[in-house]
Order: sequence, then C-alpha cells, then structure tokens
Amino acid sequence: MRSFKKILLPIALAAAIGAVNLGLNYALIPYSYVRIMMHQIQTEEYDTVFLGTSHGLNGISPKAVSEQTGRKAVNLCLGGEYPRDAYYLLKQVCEKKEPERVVYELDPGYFCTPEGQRGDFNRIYYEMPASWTKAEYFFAKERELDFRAALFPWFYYRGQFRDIKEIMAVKQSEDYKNYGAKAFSSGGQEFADGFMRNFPVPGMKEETNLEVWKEEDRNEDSFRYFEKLASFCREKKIELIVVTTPIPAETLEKYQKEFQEADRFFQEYLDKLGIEYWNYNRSDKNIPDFDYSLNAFTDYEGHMNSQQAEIFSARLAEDLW
Amino acid sequence: MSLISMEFLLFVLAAVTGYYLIPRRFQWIWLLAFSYIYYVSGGIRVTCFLLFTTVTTYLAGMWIEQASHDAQDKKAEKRRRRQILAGTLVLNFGVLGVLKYTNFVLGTISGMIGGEFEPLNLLLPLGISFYTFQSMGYLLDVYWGRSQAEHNLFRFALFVSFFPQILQGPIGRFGSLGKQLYVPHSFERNKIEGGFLRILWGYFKKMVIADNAVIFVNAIFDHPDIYDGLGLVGVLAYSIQLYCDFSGGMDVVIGIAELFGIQLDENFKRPYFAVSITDFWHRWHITLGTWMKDYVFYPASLSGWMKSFSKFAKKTFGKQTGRTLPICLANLIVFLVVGVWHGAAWKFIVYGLYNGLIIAFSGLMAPSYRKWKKALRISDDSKAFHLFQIFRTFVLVNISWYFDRAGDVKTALLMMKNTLTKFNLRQILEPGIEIGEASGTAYTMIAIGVILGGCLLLFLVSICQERGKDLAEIFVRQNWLVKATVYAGLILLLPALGQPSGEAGGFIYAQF
Repeated sequence: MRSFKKILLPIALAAAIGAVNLGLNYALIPYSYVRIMMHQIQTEEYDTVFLGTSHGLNGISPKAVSEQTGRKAVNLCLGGEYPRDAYYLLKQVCEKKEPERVVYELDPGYFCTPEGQRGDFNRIYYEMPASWTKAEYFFAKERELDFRAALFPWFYYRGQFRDIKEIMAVKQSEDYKNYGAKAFSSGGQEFADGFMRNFPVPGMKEETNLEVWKEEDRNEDSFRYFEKLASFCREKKIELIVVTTPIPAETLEKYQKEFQEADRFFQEYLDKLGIEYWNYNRSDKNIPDFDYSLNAFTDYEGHMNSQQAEIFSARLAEDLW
Repeated sequence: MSLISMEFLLFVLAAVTGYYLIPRRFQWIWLLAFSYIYYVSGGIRVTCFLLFTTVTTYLAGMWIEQASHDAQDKKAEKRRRRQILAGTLVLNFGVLGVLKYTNFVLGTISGMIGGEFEPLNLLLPLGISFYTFQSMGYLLDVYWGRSQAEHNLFRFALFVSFFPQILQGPIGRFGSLGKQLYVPHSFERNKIEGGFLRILWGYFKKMVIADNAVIFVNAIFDHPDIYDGLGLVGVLAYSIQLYCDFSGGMDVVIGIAELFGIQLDENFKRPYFAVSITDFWHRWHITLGTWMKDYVFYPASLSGWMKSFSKFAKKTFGKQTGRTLPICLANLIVFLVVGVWHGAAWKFIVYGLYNGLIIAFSGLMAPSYRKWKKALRISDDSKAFHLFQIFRTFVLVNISWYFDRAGDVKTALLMMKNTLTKFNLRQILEPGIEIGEASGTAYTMIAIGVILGGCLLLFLVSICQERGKDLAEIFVRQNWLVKATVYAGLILLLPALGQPSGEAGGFIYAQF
C-alpha cells in the first residue's frame, strides 16, 4: 500500500498540473488562423501549397490562384515561419497527400536573423495534430527552447489574462467549432479566401521591423532546413518554386544595395540547387497594374493590402500556369 | 544545451533514470558518458580544449607523484616537481588567457598606439574558467600533498567534466567531490525530493525574479542617457538580478547533483546579509573565494618576496601596519585576479581592485575602528549596529555592481554621478519608456510587483536559513499534501510570472 501511494502521488500531482495546464491553455491562448490552416490540411487535399512568411500570408490569395490555374491551392504562410517550420508544415501536409507543387515565399530577412521566441513562433507546433511529424518537429525545434514553451503553451500568452472572457467566448462560439474566421475580422484585417486580407492603410508609414539581407549574419539553420525542404520535394517529385513578393518602391530604393545583394545571392544559391526563383521586385517581373507606392502597402516592410494581393496573386497564377 | 531548455530536462531525466537502473559499480561511467555527451553537444572543437586540460592535468598529477617516489635527492625532486607544476599551470592558464584575453590585450595596445583593431574570432569553450580552475586546484593539491593523484584517467575526466557543474560551477575540490563521484549511490527518496525542490527553487529565482529584474536592468544600463534619473533603480534591480540569476543557477546545479546522490559545495550563503566586504566574499561565489584564498592568497602571503616586504614594512611603518600591509597587498593581488577572471575588460579590473582596496583599507583601519567604537560606546552585539553594517556593506557592494554591469568604467562613473544628482523615480512611469519592450512585455507594474513579491519570499527564506533552519530537511518531512502544493505552486509560477529566459540572455555565469 505504501509503495503504491509513493507511485500514485507523483502521478496525481502530474495529472493535477496537467489539468490546470489544459485549462490555462484554453483560457489564455486566443483563437488563431493557424488552427484553420491545420484543419484545412487535415481534411482537404491540395495541389499547390504556399509556404513562407507574413508577406505571403498577406500577399497570396489561394482562391485567386486556384480559380486561375485550376489547381487547388492552400496558403500556409505565417509571420515568423522560418524554413524549419515550413519544412515540417510541408511534411504534415504530405501525411495526407503529396501536392504537385510547393511555392516558397522567400523573405531574405528570415535567412539572416535568429528565430525569435515570441508571438506566434510556437503556434504551428501547438496546433499541429499528434503525428510523427509533430514528434520530429519537437526534436528539431521545441527541444532547444525554454522548457516552458513546450510544457506550458499558455506561457507566451500569460499577459492576456485580461482578455480571458473574450477568448473563452470565441472558443465557445459555433464559428470556432466550425473552424470559421469571423474572429479575425477586426483591427484592419480579415481572414478570408484562405489568406489574411489587409484593409488599405493610406498615407505614409514609419520604418519598423525591416530586416534586410546581411550575408555575414546568415542563419545556417534556415539554409539547412531550406535545403531539407528542397530535397524532400525532389524525393516526392514535388515541383518547388521560390518567389519574393513585391515591396514598396521607396523601401527598395532606400535599401537598394541590400536588396540587390540579396537578389544576387539567392539567385546564385537557388541556381546551384536547381530551383527556379521569381523575384517580383526585379524590373523584368514588373506587374503593370500593381501600385508600388508606399501608399498602397500597409507598412514600410511591404505587407500588401488585399486589393494589391489580388493583383499580385493573379500575376503569380499566370506565371504558375 | 542551456539549463532552461527542454532538451536539458529530458537529458537529466534520462541520466537520472539510467543511473539508478544500471549496476551501481557502473554509475560513475554512466555519469562520465553523460557529461561528455553534454559537453560534445556544445561542439566537437571545444571538447578538444576540455580533453587537453584533462589529459595534461592527469599526466602532471601522476608525474608529480612519481617524482616524489623516484627522487633520490630532495633538491632534484623538488625542482622536477616544480617544473612539472609550472609547465602545466602555464599551459592551461595560457590556453585560458589566450582564448579569453587576447582580444582585450590587443585591443588595449591598439588603442594606446591609436590603431584600429578588428577582434579575432577566437573559440571560447563553455565553462573554461570553471574547469581550468577546478583542474589546477587539483594539481596544486597533489603538489602540496593535500590529495593523492588520481590514477584512472577516466575517473579524473569525470571530476573535470561532471555535467551539472561544468558550465557555471561551483568549483569543486578533488578531496570532496572526487570521492562522491566514484562511489556507488543508492536511490534515496529524500534526496530526490530535496533535489527536485532545490531545482524548482533555482528556476523560480532565475525565471521569476532575475528575469523580471533584467527588464529594468537592461533598459536603464543600456540607455543611461535616457533613464538618467533611474540609476539607483537600475543598480538595485541588477543586485537582485545577479544574485537570483547566479544563485538560482547554483540551486539548479546543486539540485541536479543531489538527484545523483552527490553533494556539491555551496556557492552562496545569503550574501546581502554580510556585515563587511570580507564577509560578503565569504558568502558570495564561495568556491571562487576559497579557491583564491587557498591557491593565490596563502601562496602569495607566504612567499619569500612577501616575507621580505613584511620585514621592510615593519621596519618602516611600525609593527601593526607592517603586519597588515602584506595582507593588504595579497588581497589586492587576489581581487585583481578575481576582476580579471570576471572578464576581459577594464571595468572588471576596476571592479576587482575596488573590492581589494576596500578590504585592504578595512584591514589598515581596523585598529582605528575599534577605538572609535569604544569611544562611541558601540557594541558589536547591538542589533542596530549589525543592521548598520549590513546596510553599509550593501551600499558598498552596489557601488561595485555599477562597474560590473555598465558598458565601461566611464559609463559606470557617470551613472553613479547621475544617481546622486538626477534621481527621478517618475521616469519609470513616463510614456514611451523602453522598459519591457525588449522582452515583449508591456506590463511594467506587474513586473515590479513580481520582483517585490519574489524578493519578499526570498527574504523570508533567507531569514529562516540565516537562523540555521534547514528548509529542505523540513520540507521532506511534510505530508504529501504540503509537498504537492509546494511543487505544483512553484511549477506553475514559472510560466505564470516568469519572463522568457532566452531573451533575458540565459544564465550570466554560464558565459564564463
């Protein structure tokens, strides 16, 4: 009896902490469109998969691409999605069905900055369904992180305790249960047609968060995982295309040297890997109806508004066709 | 592998589980294997330096012992032993010196001749300061006959590389640590419970108190021009951060060793209750202090040239001062080394010398202090005087923290000046303050509350410990409900109130 109690007590303690943990996850972690994305790739099959960063999330309409190319597309781009995340996202997609084509939206800044530990950086892991890919992803990324990130996912959202009521109300709604996107229709954007549609923000924008390419700061993990993604595509006979979305002419002009250097570097790098690279900031990739003025973007970094995204997506679909 | 990472927790879990499942005679081999896995995970190239120190020190220990047995004439024996010792010390401290101080020396020379210097990209093996000091301590012990040389290279390798302590100490002694590492240990529930509690307490100090304090420390010390009225807040926050970061790390390390049944030396003993700077150094980073005392202070004090200096001082300044001066000089040397050990920068040298000068000055002034106390009828046993001494020491220690944390000596002096002339607590509430932005937290007032609450808890625990109560011992005697509540409370407080430690820069002393 005594030794049974000795074993039972740690188990009961772990169970109690686990229960509190689950409750706090529910109360503190807000609904995210990553959940919708995960649901999409779990329940539907896609021919074209977009991976990449927030530029892709705001700039690529999978609906427009699907309609124009006749191939069903899904946008899995996210702010803070490094090549490591993109690789495991693709593996997760391929657990269901292998797509014909992957379009990787490349932001050079993600190849020369360390992966941060804030915001949505941990969201993909959290929302990923239990699978071998999730286990692999754990050993590739989570194991290196602060143990609280993996054990207590609410840790990065603990500051939202004032919003608990609102978060729980959303999670109890029919929209949440049906993987709807109503919750994201506020604050100047909405999640519709499979991507984050930014409302136009006219006027000048302040320069913030712009990470330009610096070869000396290259993040070796980003290159390693991009190459893993490329070989995975080769193995599975998936076509891989890399694109860089257009940014404001003003930004491009101010950091002309850095952007030109990035273009040269990645063109050479991708040539070596035998991957096609379409940089829509080059003059030969100029999109006639596209407004390159800062006024037409939502910020200095170059996140497009939804009108621009439709124009860009139409052109991208044309090139993909 | 950071002490706060998920992989470290899994690594410790695997190491402890296997340790008690395998036959006990293999336990030390198991620990050696895990210690090397841990170190190699930091890079193969840095492991070469660890191996170099291990092999050279092991061989030197054996040769010194051999020389004692073989020598026929005493003089030749002594010379041979001294040559082996000196050679090994030069080699190992040389490696440490080259890797850690080359850029500082070349930068200083370049600055003096007005040239430009591009720092060299030198490897800095993890924990090199700690394992070098620990190994050289062993060698000196063998040389002085305090310890016998270890004849098994692999056992010696475990002493140098024991994974919980290699990154940030405590600096172990072969006499106490060696024995514990090689003997079998059986599973003891009390030790596991005590060790687990100690680990949680360490993480609490680091993640909840230190990492909240670092928000203010970084903002104020990195922008002394903007927050010129907050110098005092900055230095107080730093005194909290540094203590909770370093002693918290030690709690984690000592707690993990306890899971293996191994008792490491304590490195902290409520330092902010110290009544003098000398007392402070008996309570702060104790294993470095005792290392310095045994291997620098005493050899320097007892050396031939110091004896000559003592004779000269007695003749010139009288008996009392003449006896104190050599001790002051030895202390200055010790604290110069302490300063240099802390880092390759002038500010650390000033930090070391500042401590050395205060201790030297206190030594010289001791007779006068006694007279003044007698004249003012102050009793050493009086509570008020005791509190005054604690306050005075705390102030003096905080002055040294300006040098330790500020960007350079000039900034430290400017911040001290601003503390006295521009004190303005309201700056903490001014809109646009950058505090908190670094770690993505905008709730400054909550951080202040957490720091104060954490410090209160720490203070209460420290008071109990200062009164001689063994809280860990009391804890393991409690019923399951109390234990479960304490464990669960501490576990949940880490994510609830802690800041992301990675962004706070990890453990400060893990970079030595």
